[in-house]
Amino acid sequence: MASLNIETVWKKYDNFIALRDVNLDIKDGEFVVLVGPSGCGKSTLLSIIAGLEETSYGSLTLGDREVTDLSSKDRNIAMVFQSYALYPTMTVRQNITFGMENRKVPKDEQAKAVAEVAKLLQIEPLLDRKPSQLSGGQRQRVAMGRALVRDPQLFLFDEPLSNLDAKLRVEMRTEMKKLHKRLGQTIVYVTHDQVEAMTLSDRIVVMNGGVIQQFADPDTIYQKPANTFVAGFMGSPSMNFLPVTISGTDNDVTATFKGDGGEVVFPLGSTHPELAGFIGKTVTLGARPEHFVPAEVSGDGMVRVSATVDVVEPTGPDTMVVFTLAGKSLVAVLPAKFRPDEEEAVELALNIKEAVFFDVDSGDLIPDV
Amino acid sequence: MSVAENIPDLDRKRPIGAKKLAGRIALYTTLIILALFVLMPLAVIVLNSLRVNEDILRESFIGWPTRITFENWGVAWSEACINAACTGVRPYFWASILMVVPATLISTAIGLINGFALTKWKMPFAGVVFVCITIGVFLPPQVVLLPWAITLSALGLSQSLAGLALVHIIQGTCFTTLFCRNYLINLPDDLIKAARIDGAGFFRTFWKIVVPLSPPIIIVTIIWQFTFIWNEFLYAVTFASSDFRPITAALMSLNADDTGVSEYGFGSAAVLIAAIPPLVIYFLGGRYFVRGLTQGAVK
Repeated sequence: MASLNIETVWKKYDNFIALRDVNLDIKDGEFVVLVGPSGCGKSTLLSIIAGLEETSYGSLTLGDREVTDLSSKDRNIAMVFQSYALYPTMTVRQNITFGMENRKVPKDEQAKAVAEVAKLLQIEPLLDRKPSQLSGGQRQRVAMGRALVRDPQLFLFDEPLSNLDAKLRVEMRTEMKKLHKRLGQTIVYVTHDQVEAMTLSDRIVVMNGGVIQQFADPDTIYQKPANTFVAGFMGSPSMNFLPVTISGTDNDVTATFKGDGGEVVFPLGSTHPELAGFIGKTVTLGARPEHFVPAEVSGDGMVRVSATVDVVEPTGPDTMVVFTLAGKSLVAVLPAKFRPDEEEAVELALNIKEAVFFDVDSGDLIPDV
Repeated sequence: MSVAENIPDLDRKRPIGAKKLAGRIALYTTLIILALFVLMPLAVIVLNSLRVNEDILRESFIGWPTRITFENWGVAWSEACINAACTGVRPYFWASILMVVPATLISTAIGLINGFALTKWKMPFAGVVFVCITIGVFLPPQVVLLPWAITLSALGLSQSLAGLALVHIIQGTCFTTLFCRNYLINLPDDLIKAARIDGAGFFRTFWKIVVPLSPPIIIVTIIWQFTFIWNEFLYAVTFASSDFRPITAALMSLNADDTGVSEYGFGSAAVLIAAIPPLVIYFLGGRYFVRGLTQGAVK
């Protein structure tokens, strides 16, 4: 186990800069998830940590060793691939011992290590099978076993659950979290699935365009996203954005949205002191779909709005409602029993305390004061 | 849910209309005629190898044997004269085997290593190197004949088994590299990455991961190389000598004795003997041949 320090790492391919000034300080035993849309550089960063790609600039430190120019095999890391990358012509046992054989670990130690890992992952009956004779979930376990047997300082996971069906994915997710609790390894985990990111991680790295957008714990990422990209990427359905004009005084602020279909006024009172410096300016209001409630259950700090329903999508536990507010299309997640008709005019309420505001030009979060 | 008790007729075929039937007949007739056309020369040679030479001279080159004899095969194998040495094709057959087998195996091995290095190991200038190697595929052999003669004599290998084998190894590497590269490019990159993280170097990854996954292309390449080198004539004639002569070059000077009478009987037998090894290789690996050549064509 070890900490991982990534300092000012850049990566250039021919004319394309894949990573820009990446800095991460990952603590010993921490479970960090890299998340972002395709092409955001998360897999490149993982390859660089693994030593499969070289950095164009910057350095990496694992524990107390600088590993920037060390090859993969000398870094003391293990990796689980999206495709599992099990060697198809070897048995499960040979797959697990291949690395130890390359490092010339004595046979009896190999056997002991395999037995331990097989027991931990419950793959003992599979040891003499070929990967082609295993189910998706079993292959996944074997791939984990191959990584675990090394007892590395750092585990790397490249979208390890994305080839599993939905049910198995949830099971393996829970299992992985349990395993991390038990073994306390340092893990860097790449995924494009934000639910995986939220549920598994101690901290999340949100990336876009080769740049780290935010590195924080899941709650902070969700409640105080650093900018409109993070706010829009994390959470499903996506956060609603409304350009609003700020008016009033420092202690009694009002945000007004002027749309094609009229004007909506959000009296903020003193709930958002961070907007004090923005009176007379336009900012972006961010409201999560679940921050809307039916008007009849609204209470303190709620702002009532009149909306027209466009689409109703029942998901089972909730009802997703796409509605128009003064000409702007927004999404709300409402209780399952709330089933308005399409085209119906409904009264909703927005929990304005939970709303966040972004600078309209930079897209950055207007921080709390 | 209840399961149906009575199973209906599940072997129903779509009825064929008259127009479609006529089309089928025309198609198969054409195919059979074309097949006969291709097989005719082979049939003539096989029949002649079983006929007495007088029969062939008296009747015609094409005809049924009046009596079947296997004598031609024996003569062709061990008695017929080639350039005044009456040893049959036997020594030339073995000379060919001694030259073709190592040339095939070595060029296949080099091709596989090249293919691996060009596709899965981040080799600098892999694209340029690959293009240069494949140019060899399109080079007519006549163009390189003289350069080869000069090279071989400089190496002291002219007109020797080793010299001809060397020519075929190097010429063949162009083909084998092309085949193996196109096969190995479909190997998942993750496997190679996993092996790197597991601490395997170039040759260990090659032996433990790549070779076990390559039997289809190895077999295709071996069939291709063996057949090509065995049947090759231009280099064989050019670089042959009294000490070393491959069977294709020897067939040209085949005669029963010095009388100059054409001996179609054991000539045919000798040709068939010369055709046996590629056929054997093809029958053993033909299944893989078709599979390997279409590999990657359909995902």
